[in-house]
Amino acid sequence: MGETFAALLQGLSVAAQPGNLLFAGIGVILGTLVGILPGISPSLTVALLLPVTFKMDPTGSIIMFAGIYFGGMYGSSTTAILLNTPGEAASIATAIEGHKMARAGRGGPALATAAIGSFVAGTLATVGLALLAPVLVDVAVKAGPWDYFALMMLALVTVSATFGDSVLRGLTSLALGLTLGLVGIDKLTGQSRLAYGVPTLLDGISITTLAVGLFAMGETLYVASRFRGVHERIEAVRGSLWMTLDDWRRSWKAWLRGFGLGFPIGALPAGGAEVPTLLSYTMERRLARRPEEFGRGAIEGVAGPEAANNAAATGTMVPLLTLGLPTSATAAMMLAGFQQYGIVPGPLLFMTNTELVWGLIASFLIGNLMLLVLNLPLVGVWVQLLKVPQPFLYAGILVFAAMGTVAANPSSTELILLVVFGVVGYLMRCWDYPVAPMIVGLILGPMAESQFRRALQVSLGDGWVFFKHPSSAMLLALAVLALLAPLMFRGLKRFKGEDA
Amino acid sequence: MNEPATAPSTHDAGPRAPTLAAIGAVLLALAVALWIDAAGLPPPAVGGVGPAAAPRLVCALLAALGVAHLVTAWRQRALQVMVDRGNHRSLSWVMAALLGLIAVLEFGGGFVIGAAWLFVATARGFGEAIHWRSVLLGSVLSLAVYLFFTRVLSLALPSGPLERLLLG
Repeated sequence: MGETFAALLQGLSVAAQPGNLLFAGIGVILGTLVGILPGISPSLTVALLLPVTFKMDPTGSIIMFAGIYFGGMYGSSTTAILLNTPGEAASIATAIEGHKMARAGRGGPALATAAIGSFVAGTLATVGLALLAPVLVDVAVKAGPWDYFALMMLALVTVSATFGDSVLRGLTSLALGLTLGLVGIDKLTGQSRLAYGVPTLLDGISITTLAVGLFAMGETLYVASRFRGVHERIEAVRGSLWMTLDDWRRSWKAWLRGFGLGFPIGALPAGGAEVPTLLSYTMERRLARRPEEFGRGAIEGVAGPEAANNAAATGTMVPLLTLGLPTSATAAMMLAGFQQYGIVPGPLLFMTNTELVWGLIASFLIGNLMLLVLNLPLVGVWVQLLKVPQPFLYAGILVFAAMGTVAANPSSTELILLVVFGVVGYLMRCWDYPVAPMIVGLILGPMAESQFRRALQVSLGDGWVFFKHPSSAMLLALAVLALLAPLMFRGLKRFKGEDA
Repeated sequence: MNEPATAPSTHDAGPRAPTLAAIGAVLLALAVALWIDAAGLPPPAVGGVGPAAAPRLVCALLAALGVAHLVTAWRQRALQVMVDRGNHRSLSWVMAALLGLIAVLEFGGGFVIGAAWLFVATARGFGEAIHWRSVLLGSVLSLAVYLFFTRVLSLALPSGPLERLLLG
């Protein structure tokens, strides 16, 4: 315990160096700037801004990266409140109540409770992360390859099957991601797989290209195909920006409950960052003294889900940092960022690169604080960004997407891949296939394969190795259960169908 | 009346029967491609599995999902639903924008021209006429991006005649 706080303090001293503070500030502002644009989710924000951090030192760029992430989340909730276009499933609850509040001239308090709630929950969750991470690292060092493989299976199943609308479509998306993960040179034997002699393919499919293609290109093509020449209406922020005493009284418990739901669920090595926000929304509606206000602009309905969302996002950093296991599309993008700087998250990172890990954790605290002090007063400026005309908005998004891809790998093959993924993303949007499993599959598939082969090497080819160890047997049983669970979770599905 | 134009989609879940069948066929074709590719890989060394094991597993998964799609398609074959045709003109413009960029870069036209075309044509797809306003905006944006990447971040972006003319 004492050690953890010493490490966190050391991390704070790293994150508080003027250079790193500057990176955190730039990250927060860039993240808000891009995340606030309608239709851009936090994971896309991270994907689009990844190339900007290519050539910096790892600590600085990762700190900037954390800022981008939190800024993107804040921007996304601002768009949900003022424009009623949730950039991702996790802000749907915010969009329901927040937009109603904005229409009733209470946009200011809605934005404030979202921002302060995110800050409170994010800060608590970061402390939770700092306390939980060392414990998990101790467990993780003792885990064998069979345990890792079983854990990855569990994460893959929960991301694709358990929390989606359809098991079939989720698993299909996952299978496509796994297939893409096989492309390229096999790291253990040097054999090329599915590359068909194309040089770009030998290096494997880049996660950034896939994410930008699926999200940015797919989204743009989808909006174009539904284009009717009508523009969205932005709710102006009228009235006081500040929350009244009553607003505070109604918000603070919702923030804490949001954190209580968001952090533990996010920290589980299983997918589903949307679940806690939806659970929080239902919970607030049940507990509210005036439940009739829900659906017409109840502040608890913004405070709870926003806090839960931020806490869950920080929670997903627990499996990502300690086990190297991404459990959401955004976490997968963060992992891609780490890999780009040659950093492999996992228990070893805590030993070999202490300064970086704790600097990153500490910069979560600083990033959250910066968001609060920078963004709340600047909300008028951010709102102007929502007024970018739609033609220029999407044209700009495509230019940035193309630029990032070409800068990362200057070849037309990469660009063609990007467009192909864009078309795939468009079709998946049209037919309601989730894209997150595909991205998580691409990044987790090769990791699972290498653990699988390592386990079988250790056991000299005995396939029972996964069931002989109680820990991995239990995790695999959980994975099977998670595959069958959607049948039991009908209630949750119905709730989603009602509000989505 | 006040509802935004692009509210979260409320259309029902999932594709129709013919589409489902087509997706099933594509998945089966992918499975076959994986199987053929795996067949060409060398057998595993002593102890453990080789590089062909994972492709075979994914192949089995794809095949199972393909069959599941076909079965679902067969079950829903009688279901007749209205299909939203969508806006093909806008979609074509955006596709033309992307393909144009690939063509410009492939033939050495440089990043600035390609990205400016991408900008102008995409804006056209979203109802902004091709006019000096979007051309100017697109060119300025592409040039700014080019300068930022090559000068500030020292990353290489493809250059063509325009870049060489402007920057020597």
